[in-house]
Amino acid sequence: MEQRAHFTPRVLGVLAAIVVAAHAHDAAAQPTGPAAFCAAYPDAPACDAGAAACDTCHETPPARNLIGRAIEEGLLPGEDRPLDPEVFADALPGALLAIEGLDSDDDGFVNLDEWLAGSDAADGDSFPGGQVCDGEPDKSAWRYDVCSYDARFTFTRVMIDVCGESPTYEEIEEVAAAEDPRALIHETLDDCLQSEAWRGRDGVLWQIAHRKIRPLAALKAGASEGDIPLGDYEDDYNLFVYTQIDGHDARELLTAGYHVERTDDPTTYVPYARTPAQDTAARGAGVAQLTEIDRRAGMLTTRWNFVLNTMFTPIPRTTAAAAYRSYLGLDIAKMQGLQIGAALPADYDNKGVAADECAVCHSTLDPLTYPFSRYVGLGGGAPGDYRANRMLSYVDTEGPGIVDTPEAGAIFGQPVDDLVEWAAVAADSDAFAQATTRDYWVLMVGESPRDIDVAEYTTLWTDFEGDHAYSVDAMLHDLIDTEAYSVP
Amino acid sequence: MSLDRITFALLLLGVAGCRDRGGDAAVASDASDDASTTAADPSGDSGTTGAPDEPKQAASLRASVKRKAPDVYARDLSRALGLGTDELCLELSQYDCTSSHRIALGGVDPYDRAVYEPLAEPGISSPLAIDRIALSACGERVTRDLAGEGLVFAELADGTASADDRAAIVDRLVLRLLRRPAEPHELEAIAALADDPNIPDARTWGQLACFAIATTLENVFY
Repeated sequence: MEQRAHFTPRVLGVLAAIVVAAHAHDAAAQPTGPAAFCAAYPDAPACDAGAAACDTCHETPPARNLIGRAIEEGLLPGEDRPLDPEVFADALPGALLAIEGLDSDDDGFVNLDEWLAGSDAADGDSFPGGQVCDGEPDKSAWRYDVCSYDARFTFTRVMIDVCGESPTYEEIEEVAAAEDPRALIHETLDDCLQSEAWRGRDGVLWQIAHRKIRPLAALKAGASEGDIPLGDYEDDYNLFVYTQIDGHDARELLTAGYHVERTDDPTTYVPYARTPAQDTAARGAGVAQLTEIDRRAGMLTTRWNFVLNTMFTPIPRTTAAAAYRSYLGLDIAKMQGLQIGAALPADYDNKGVAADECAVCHSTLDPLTYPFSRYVGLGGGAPGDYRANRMLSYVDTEGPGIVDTPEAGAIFGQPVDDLVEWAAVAADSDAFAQATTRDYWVLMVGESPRDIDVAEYTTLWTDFEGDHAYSVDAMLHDLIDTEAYSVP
Repeated sequence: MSLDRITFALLLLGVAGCRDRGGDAAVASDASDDASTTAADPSGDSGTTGAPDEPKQAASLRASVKRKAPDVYARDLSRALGLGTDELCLELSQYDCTSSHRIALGGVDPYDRAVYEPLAEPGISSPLAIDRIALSACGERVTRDLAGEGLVFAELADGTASADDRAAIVDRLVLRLLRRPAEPHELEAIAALADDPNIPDARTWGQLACFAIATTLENVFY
């Protein structure tokens, strides 16, 4: 299949969704859609990052929302489906023009007004207006200033979100009365980032990590050992938190060749780099990290990750997909992050991945997975052990073709030789910066970025990977100054 | 106190608590001629307002609030009422309520039950869990104050409370729990509950006044 490079990682990451035609007879939204929308409406807030989100026209792709269905009716009716992507892109502006004057969500505002205002034209509860504070509002009589930065509101939020408790009335009034409330609030943030509530065991950072690490007490090794001790996931939490604190480079989440020890009361995190033999001698075989240092890739090569996700699988697609979702924010199950035009996958393990309906996802997922295939999960060695000839172990169960499984793969369409290189590409990607920033945006703001937040969110993640050199602390200082966070 | 009396008292307090205050983000201003902000409701409906002489707070344009995590709610209650977090509420006199009802309170249980993220929507027992913790904590504070500690309910030491005493207690509770001075209509409404024949004594009034404030949206969300 001809390679079509319509999307850079930047576009993918900001919008976090690639639409793929699922039904041959439908006028399916195609990857050219987002860019074509913004070519027609470059001033729309949704286009601040270059291309509109897929949910402009879709629910979970390829299902279409009200706008998508309205477009479908007027998009080259009678033409055979699926449409060629370029034909689709050429025809889309006309179809959009035809529905500009409609009020698809029946909220009193026509579609064009909603697109240009940044509200969701497919959601009746989202509409333009009510988003501007005009006139001469009597702010002196308000509890909260809903038109601009509110120091009391922001200070309270920072205290709760990061320190884990509300401030007292006296503390709030002290900040409000200060000559420079913002400066005091930033000082408070710095103090709170050192708190047990933020970084301690089961603190806020652990809450973010839970869905990425997915602990299971029954399989835990080490302290509070489970019934079937296979690995200690606390090593994963320790590494995760360490990369998120004290200005550390968050990319080491994926690239670290070290692990981290934690002490409690007070909580400290200290990195260490021990070989498998050294770690076994230091902590015992039941919990030792068994990947050689030069084969490590942060959270991707922890013992727990291989125990939980790779297990007995020769081509561990679950492991790769979990990493793609957890650290890059791309969920293949929701058809996100798919590389359009990627070559059909070879079916090394006879799972039927080359069939049309499977290749849609597996043309991306399988190359993404190959670099993980040389790391033992359960059986055939110690969890995390790198073995170049690991595939030989699976000939009896998977057939002779399994040995042809390459170690080299691809991520974001870029070839990589092994998992260490995979991790480096991932860590340097816009998707990683966006996913990391998004985690904290959702945590602090309380919801995913709205259309009206695109500009602020984009600035936040681009500065995170630029000026802030992947420091979460620095990014948080910017986040608490955003309108999304600081305006009630 | 009988369950019926408690229920009726709670209903009365709920009605009083639902009256909009100046700080309530749900209050929408009229789209009047001069000093006004654009109301979030395009229909032009002024929505609910505070008491007649209360300044009108404009509606939040984002209107996004978050529910306090269980440990945050517990710490806030603990700090406001001068109790340890392990003294707020015990199920069966043994088990910390915040831990027992963690999922309902918006928490997680990642290790044993693989609940890695809070439930997307509060469950039917979520407000009940909040109520249990608040009622227990408030009762504990009243009990201790009547025994001589006098932190929040000192005026109730002799078992009675004048109107001024009640106003002082309510003001103190609002300051501690909601971190702001009480509005005049709040003082009046909660203090006046003591006149309800279903509330048998000052001690009960104190506990329920505390409960009413501790379970407001303003304290549960932020």
